[in-house]
Amino acid sequence: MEDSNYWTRLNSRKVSRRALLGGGATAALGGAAALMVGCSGGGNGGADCVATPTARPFGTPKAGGTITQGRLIAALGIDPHIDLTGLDVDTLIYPYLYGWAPGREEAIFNNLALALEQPEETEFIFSLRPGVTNSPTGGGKPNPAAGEEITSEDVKQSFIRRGTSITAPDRRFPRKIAGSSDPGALEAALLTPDKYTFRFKMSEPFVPGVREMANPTWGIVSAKVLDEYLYLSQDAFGAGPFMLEEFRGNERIVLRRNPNYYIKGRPYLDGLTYVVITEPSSLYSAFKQGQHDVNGSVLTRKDYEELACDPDFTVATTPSLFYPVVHLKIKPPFDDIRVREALNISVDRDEIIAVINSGEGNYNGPIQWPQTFWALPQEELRAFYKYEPERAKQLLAEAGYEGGFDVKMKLPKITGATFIADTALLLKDQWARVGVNIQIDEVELGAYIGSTLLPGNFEMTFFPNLPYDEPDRPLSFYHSLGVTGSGNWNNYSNPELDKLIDAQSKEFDKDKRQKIILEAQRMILKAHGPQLTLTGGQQYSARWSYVHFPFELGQDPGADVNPNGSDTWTEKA
Amino acid sequence: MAQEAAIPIAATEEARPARSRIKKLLSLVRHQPLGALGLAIVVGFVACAVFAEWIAPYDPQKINVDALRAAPSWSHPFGTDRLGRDVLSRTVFGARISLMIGLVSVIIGTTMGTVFGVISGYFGKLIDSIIQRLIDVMLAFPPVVLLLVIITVIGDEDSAFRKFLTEHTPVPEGTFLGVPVFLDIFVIAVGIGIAVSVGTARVVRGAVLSLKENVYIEAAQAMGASDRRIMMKHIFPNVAALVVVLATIFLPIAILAEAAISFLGIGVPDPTPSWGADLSGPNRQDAISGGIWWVVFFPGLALSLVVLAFNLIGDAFRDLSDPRLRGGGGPGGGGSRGGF
Amino acid sequence: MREYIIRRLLLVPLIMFGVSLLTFMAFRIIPGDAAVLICQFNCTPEVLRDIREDLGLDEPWYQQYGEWLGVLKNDDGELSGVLEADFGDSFFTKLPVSEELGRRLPVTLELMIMAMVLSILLGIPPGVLSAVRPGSFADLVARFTSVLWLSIPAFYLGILVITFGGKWFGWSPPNFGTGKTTGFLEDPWLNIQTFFWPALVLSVGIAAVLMRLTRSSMLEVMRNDYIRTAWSKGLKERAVVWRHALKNAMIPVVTILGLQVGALIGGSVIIESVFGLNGMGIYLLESILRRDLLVVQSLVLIFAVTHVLANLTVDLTYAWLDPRIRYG
Repeated sequence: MEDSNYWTRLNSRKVSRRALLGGGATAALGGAAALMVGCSGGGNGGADCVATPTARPFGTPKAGGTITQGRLIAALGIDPHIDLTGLDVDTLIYPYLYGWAPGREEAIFNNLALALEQPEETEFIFSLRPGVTNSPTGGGKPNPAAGEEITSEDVKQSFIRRGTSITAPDRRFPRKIAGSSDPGALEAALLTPDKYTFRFKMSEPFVPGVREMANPTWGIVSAKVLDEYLYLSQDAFGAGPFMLEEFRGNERIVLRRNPNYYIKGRPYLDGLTYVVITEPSSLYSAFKQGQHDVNGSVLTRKDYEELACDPDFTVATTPSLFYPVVHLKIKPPFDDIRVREALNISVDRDEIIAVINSGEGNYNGPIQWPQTFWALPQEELRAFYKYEPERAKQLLAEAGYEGGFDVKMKLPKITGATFIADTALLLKDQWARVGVNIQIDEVELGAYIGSTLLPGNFEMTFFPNLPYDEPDRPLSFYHSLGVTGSGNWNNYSNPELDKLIDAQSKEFDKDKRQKIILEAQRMILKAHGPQLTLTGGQQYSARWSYVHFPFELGQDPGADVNPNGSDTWTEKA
Repeated sequence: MAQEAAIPIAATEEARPARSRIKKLLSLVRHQPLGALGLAIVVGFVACAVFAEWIAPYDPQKINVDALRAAPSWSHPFGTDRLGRDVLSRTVFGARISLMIGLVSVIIGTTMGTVFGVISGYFGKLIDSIIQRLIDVMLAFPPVVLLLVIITVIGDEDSAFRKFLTEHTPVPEGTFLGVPVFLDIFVIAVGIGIAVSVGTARVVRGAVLSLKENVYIEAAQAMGASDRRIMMKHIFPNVAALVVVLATIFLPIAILAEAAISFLGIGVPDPTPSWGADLSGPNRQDAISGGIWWVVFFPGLALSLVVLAFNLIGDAFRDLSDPRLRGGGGPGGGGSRGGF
Repeated sequence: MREYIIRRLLLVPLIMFGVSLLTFMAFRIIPGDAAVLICQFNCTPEVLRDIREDLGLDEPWYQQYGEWLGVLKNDDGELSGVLEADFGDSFFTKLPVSEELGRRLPVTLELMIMAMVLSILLGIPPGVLSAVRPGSFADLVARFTSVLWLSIPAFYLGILVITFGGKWFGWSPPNFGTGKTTGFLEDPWLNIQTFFWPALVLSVGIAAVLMRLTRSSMLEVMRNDYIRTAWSKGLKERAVVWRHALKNAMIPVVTILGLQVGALIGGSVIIESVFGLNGMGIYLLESILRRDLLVVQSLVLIFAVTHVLANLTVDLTYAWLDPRIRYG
């Protein structure tokens, strides 16, 4: 493998690079935001029984059978390193180094890596599992690496590809490994002493990288496959539990069991089909009619309550990691901390929970509350964000805005994601009570990102952040360099805070890191902005009861869990 | 709007000797009860639009945490939506948006169309050819597709057109004439207006062509009257009646067009009550999967009623002009809604 | 006459050129483009530039337009474009647009054809009946129905059907919410059921137009001398109505039917989104929102060609059927 850099090989082939661009991350955002739609459930749930997550025994698994799952978002592509709309599918097709237990914030070594050795904090030595074998076919075509093991060289090539992909959501980690953004440096930093050992040493400590390697974008693809296929957006050849049979990302995605899978007898299922329907009510109707075994639509609290009382269905609920925030531009009137505080305490967060989060939700600090290990305690947040409209008026008067002021709030317009506009309406309503009049201005998502958010072209904007599951990213929005390193959108700068944010990304000790992160959040709280954090709710899921999952949405999967999808089984085998 | 373009030429021939307006109205009620009913409905909706603040029991944007998705009751006759907003109030205010867009777009559309039609017909030759080919191109788009394209292009947040409006014209951005986000509404009206103007221009040009044959135009030209004067003094007054007829035909179509594009999610933005927008998105999902029927039923009913009223009035006019064909029809009187 | 036909035919390519150029320019002057949607939050100017370059959005517009048409060479040095029915690839899925069209065209076509058939069945017989007995109870009902149908927007009717079907009967349209449209050969009965409801909803407005036109046209024809002669010759009513009057009355009706193709195309955009049919209309709407320009251009062009050809056919047929019409 002389000419091993992926992009060099690609360019040497003189093929239009057009093929390599992923289907927009924004589409992912749109879709992900659409998942919030249902969270504004009605307050009038009329169910007779008490809606609780159904606890079903996992039972004795039966092999065989297929399940169909609804999907609200079209998957524009399923290349793990490039596309962002098909990541859930990628986790079924490709092996990963390891999994992650969200509550415990720990790696689970249930996948390609047998163990991780860290002689130093920044040095990672993975011993790989022998016998993780590539599927015979993918999408009806022969797998170029059919029957072959995944080796350290494959891991290396996948890391290089992921680390240099234009559309990858975050490339800070590979840069911290390489010490620069040069693909050659990354290649030199990744070592493969033997077939089953993969090692590297970060040139600079970057703790979030540990979590990141378990993310769906870090799928391990055979080097042979990468050699043969320039991009894997519409093709897939992996060594995960399933293999692709048919990919029509805006209609259906059909997966078959990978007969070469390294765990004997897994996956239980013979196949898994995703059916894409982008209209939420149609999707839900298909689930209830039994055309889908697993619901893909967004459930409202009301749907959830109804289903919970019907033994035919199994339901689960988990806190949603979405954290809509209001960005304030640090210029008049928002450069005055009294004005920011006034806005903060004139938001009635309980009312938002009642209307937008179906009555089930918590206050969000700078890190959203479901990240329990990193977030500030709920009591502290609730005490801090007390609803005090009278004091808010007083603060405004002190700041020279007696009686309030007018301001324009920009919103992204995302089809299907009603909660954005709904929350904005509620805020408008609440702030009007203290005299702050918001004029809502909805902007088409593409234009919003390009010409409103990124250039910081707003006075005030309401934005649904992606559901980051690591504290570093949410904090980086407050860093004066921002997430891209080229500055944040709010013009907010606090050197003390920057130091803390930098420090936490270098602190490998979990407890010490937690302390720094809590301190940073308290500092942000006191500054009242530049983002006003609101609330976070629950998301609900449902399936027909004959489908069994090894663990429910939001539960700790436990240590002996197998990779995604391999333990799922159905009684209808 | 190709099909509409073909319709109204005949309408000019219907110009009847003027009768007194009151007499006309009386005879309308006597002989055309349905037409009178239509008129009454339209008057009712106009009243809603003008006096919405007094008629609607609540603020249409007022959120009510204590009554989310409430079924119709005495306090909320049409129920409430997912934010506890009163559906009756939203429907009443929706009339304002709907009629405002209908009116503005028809005024803009027929004005633009008349100007182009008169110029095209009067000058003929190269100017005529250019304008007519342009119209051919516009008419080649199916109406809904044309609207989608126009609205996307001029309605974009940073479109040159919006910039022009905010920087060089007095069109207000905020609340104006009781309409919130007036600029957005205006842009949509212009979009629909452009579509309307295409049909208008073609029909007006036809009428101008036949007018030009008249001796008095030639006489005016011989006397050295300027083109501008001839168009203003001799041509325009003679097509004015036709333009009014066209406007009445396009008005309900424009209202439907607004509802359709708002339904498709590119029209009036959500907080502003619009019948079309209220039929889509979260309301539609509530209705279909949650059985919350009232959030879509009433706005749609209002929309249908307005269109029905205009159709009844149109039928009545046609009947009066040709009683033999009583009951709909008349020359090209199929009525049309441009695919909405 | 021949000259007229030739002139009309020659105009078609010119109009198509205008349509494609107009659509092309329109979507290139608006600020948000697909590159911004693709690049999202890591968007540094460099990344954005790379992506624009990859999508070919950095080239001057005439180059892009020429490549799309297939008269200028693209990056790979090939000449391939719309003129050879190569519509290019979607910016997002990278799949050829023609592949997507191959799947979606049948859906929209079947919807439109079925709607057309239903509107003829629903519109013309009642129209004839009400013209034969003007003023009768049947006439009254027909007239009232037609004006009602004319006034209910299709998207409202569609939502009512789905909402109340579910609420009162626990029913929903076959295949609703599955995104599937069973192929006719696969299961003819299910296929027809799938399309029946959306087509019915779409047809109602057109049926109303046809009904009203049939009625007025019949009334007009029945007043003609030759019909009076037929009556006076003592011919049976059936023969008069069906053999003599209807044939002549259908001329304007056929015309309007052709002109409704534009309405059908627009209607299908809306109805597909109401009933969740994966046809061309939904595709257009999604692509416009995503700024997937090649797809938008291609779809608009296809719709416009269909529309123009339908109108042309109508005009020519009309000229042929009714030689009194002169064209200036």
